[in-house]
Amino acid sequence: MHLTPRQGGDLFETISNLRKAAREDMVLGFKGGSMNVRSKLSWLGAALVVAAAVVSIQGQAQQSSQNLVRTARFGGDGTAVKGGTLTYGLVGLPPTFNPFTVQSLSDTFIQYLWFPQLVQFNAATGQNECYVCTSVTQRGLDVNFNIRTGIKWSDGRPLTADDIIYSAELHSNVKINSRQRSDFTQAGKEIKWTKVDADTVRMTLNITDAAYLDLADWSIVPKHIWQPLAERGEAAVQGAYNVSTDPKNIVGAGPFLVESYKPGEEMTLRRNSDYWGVDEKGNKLPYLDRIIAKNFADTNARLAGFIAGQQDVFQPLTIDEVQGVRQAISSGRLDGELKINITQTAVTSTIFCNFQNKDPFKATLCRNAKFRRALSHLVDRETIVKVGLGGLGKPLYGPISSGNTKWYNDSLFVEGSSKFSYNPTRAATLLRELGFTRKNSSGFLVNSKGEAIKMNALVVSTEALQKVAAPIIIEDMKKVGIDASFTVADNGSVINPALRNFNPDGTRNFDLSFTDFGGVSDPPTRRNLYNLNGVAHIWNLNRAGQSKPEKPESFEILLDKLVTQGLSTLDTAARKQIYDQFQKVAAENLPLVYLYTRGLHVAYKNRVGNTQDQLKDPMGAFQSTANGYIGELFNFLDTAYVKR
Amino acid sequence: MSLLTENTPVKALSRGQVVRTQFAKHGLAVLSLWVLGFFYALAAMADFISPYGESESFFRGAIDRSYAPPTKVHWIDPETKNLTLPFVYNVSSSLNLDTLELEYKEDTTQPYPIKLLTNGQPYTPFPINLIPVSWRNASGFDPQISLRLFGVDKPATLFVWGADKLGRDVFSRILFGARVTLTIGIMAATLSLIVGVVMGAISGFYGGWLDDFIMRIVEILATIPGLFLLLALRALFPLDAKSGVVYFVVVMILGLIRWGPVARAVRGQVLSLREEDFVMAARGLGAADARIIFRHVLPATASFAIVSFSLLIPGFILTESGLSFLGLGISDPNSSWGLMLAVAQEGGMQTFTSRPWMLLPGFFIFVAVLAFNFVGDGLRDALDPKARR
Repeated sequence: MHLTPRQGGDLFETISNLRKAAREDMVLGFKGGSMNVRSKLSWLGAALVVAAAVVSIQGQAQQSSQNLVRTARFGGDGTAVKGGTLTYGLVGLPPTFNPFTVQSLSDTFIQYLWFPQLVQFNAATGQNECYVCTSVTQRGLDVNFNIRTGIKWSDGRPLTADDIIYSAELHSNVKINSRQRSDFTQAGKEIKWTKVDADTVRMTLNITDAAYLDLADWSIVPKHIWQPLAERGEAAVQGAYNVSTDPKNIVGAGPFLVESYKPGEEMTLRRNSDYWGVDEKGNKLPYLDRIIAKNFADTNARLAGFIAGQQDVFQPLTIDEVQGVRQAISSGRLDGELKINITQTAVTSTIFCNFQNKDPFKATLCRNAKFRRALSHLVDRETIVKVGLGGLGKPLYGPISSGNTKWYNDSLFVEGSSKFSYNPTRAATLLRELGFTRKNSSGFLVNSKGEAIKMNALVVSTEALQKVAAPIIIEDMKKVGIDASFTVADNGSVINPALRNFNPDGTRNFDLSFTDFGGVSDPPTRRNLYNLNGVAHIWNLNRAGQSKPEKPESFEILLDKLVTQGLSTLDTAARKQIYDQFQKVAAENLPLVYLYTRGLHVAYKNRVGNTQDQLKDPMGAFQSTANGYIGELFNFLDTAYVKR
Repeated sequence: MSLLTENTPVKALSRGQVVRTQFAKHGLAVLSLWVLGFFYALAAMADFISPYGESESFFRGAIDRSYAPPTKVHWIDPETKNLTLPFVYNVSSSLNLDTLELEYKEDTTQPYPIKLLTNGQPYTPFPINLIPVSWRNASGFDPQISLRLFGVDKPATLFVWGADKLGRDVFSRILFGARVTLTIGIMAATLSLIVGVVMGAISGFYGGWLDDFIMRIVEILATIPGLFLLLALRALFPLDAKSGVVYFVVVMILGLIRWGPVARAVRGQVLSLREEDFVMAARGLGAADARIIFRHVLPATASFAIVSFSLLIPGFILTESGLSFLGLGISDPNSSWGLMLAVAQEGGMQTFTSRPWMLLPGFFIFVAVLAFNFVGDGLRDALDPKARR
């Protein structure tokens, strides 16, 4: 099920829309436009809900030809030009072509251009859709994938069920340690992959999982190439397909194949003439002859390269980059277009309070919802978004980014009950209710025992936005009478150990921490964030060997239950209800005080067609600041084209 | 043919006098000394000279000055067209949709005269502010004054060199930043120089097992990877330690471990110097080892020591911004030149095209480093008997 281009046609915010919006609303200009979009999005969200109920209708419709029909999902105009080269910029080329040793998410996505997957994430619809499979049927815990026939590897051999089963074996091999190995365990046990017949493979789950398609998105490799390697041992598998491998020997089956790799310079991909995708008129995809990924020393150099015309597509990550691109276009130096705030990324930024503080007084405070709400009332989100993001972001009050249109429900957020926006007076009242009624000689609030609230917040030194948010929030905390401070430190050596290391008595040493969490589209939050045993349940963490933190609060148990329930419920409407409740409970109790999300922006030269302007659900799990959201590119490159 | 007679007055110059006169002949060095003196005076008087406090920010509410450009100072009365006392206008910002940046426009309805010796945020004056805060609190002696050299009434603001992202005065922050940049790095460089020269001299002069021992220490120190040492050090501090304190301690420790190369070079020189005639003579006259080392050997290595000192200083000044990145250096809301420059760098191209004033700390680092180099040059020439003019 795909969206036709027309459905999405007027969704994006162009600069002209913005200009109109700004005239109506002189504050910052972005409000009017985005409201407009939201109403349209909710309409579209309804359509998506219907779409989600049916798994891959498109696959079944195309049973006979077995070709994958790829419409121009991102606002194409049906006038694609064949041929041409598209260039984009990376900060650091992919360090390997090997699907088992690749580490970063963005590098994995680049590999999907030549390694096929059973199902692939479509950023236009925000869900996994059949790619190598043609249809999926589920009976109980058995999930059957019908395989598209006629797919050929680039060395001419056909892609078979055996390839898929063998790839699953390699990915799940503990010794090979693929980054996608977690896709092969569920409830602590291996998920079984078996061949049913020549055209069908089966995944046998251990427990019901609504997001089971997430478990089938790993790269498929040709068995006839990898089996001989694996027979020589795991090290041979891990050592294969490194960047010095002759690209001719890299066998793939995606829209593009590796043509050349010049370390530190560029990587060239060429069109796979045997690719099995066609457009809606039956023309063979992809349109492009070549894709060049150019390497840049840093993000500044990449921006300069885009403005100088060396790249066709560019995703500005910061307001500085947005301004740079905008100014280049306004002044006529660049013949391109910039689309800002297409949607919000799924990255949610938070500040949270340590429930296991070594100081029992502080731990009790952190465990008190009133204190966390007071904290939320002290976050001037509008100002942070304005100063730190130049207005290109949105305040966040709940666990799901508004960019995740499938699950985000704005109507749940009611001021005072599930939304605690900037209001220092209200914060002061809440603190008074907690017993902090008078001020001491230094001007800090104290309770009847004379205890003041002394809190220090950790800020990651590489996160520019946190460094803007921290002084603003800390200043407001001080004004209301909290003895607050913040420490900017290196994530790897200081902050992460501080967050994760326990004292012998089960306490941890930090007070507050600024932390950004990536998001995935479904389940709407990372599984490991709200589950009691989650590795990211960081405000109240379980120690190694424990299944839950020592003293979970009742709302934490409820959140854990809701997330698990949401995942095991298959009916979309019922899931939506569960996730609505989940959002509400999280927003009321604020285990994490939610701060803001960032807008997703894209810029491209005008010669590029079928661009990705209308991403609905960004897979904002990309926290790599260097390559940002570039991973999403893989989703549009097969239908993009460049005009002559 | 001797010109000296019994009656000729002999003007014997002390070593200090010779050095001073020689130094005075090096014009650039003298100028640099004045420049540095000026910088230090500015740093000491930062509270008084700067119109705003170190972390006084204007980014929300009625006065919003995020990346406000330098405030225009007017000298001409708009009505009479005559020269008048300087004044500024209040500004208001609006988003320019062609650049997506805030644009500041003057509101010319009301002039705000620049006031001399006006009131601002209260502060503890120099030199009382050298006493640690905790001591001042404990003793109850913490006089606060709010007198500032110049300023304007709110809501107008006076940013001589523009404002940063949070609407903080860059001029004020440069003055406050000088306190950190011009002191701590130099103290560390001095420390490493002193330790290096003394250890090198002992090593070279005595030789034998002592020499072996010291040189092995130098080698061991050289094998310690700097980055990991720093990270380990950071882990030793409590999480909420003040960034200034952490930075001071870390840089001092860096100073204590970076003396190796200096010691090695000094040792090499001393090895040859100790065989020189003047050392032999001193020894023959029965001078003690300490006297020979400090009066005869070390002064001969002065030119090297001073050159390496002037090279160490920029190294330590530049280390500062790297340390901020690891969370070991100065961090907001405090300021230092290195930190300000790191922030400017984060802005990328926009810093150059839209807010070049953010790069001013770089100019100050440049001037300071250059000045230290010239002073080093001058001192070397003045101390080196062979280079006398």
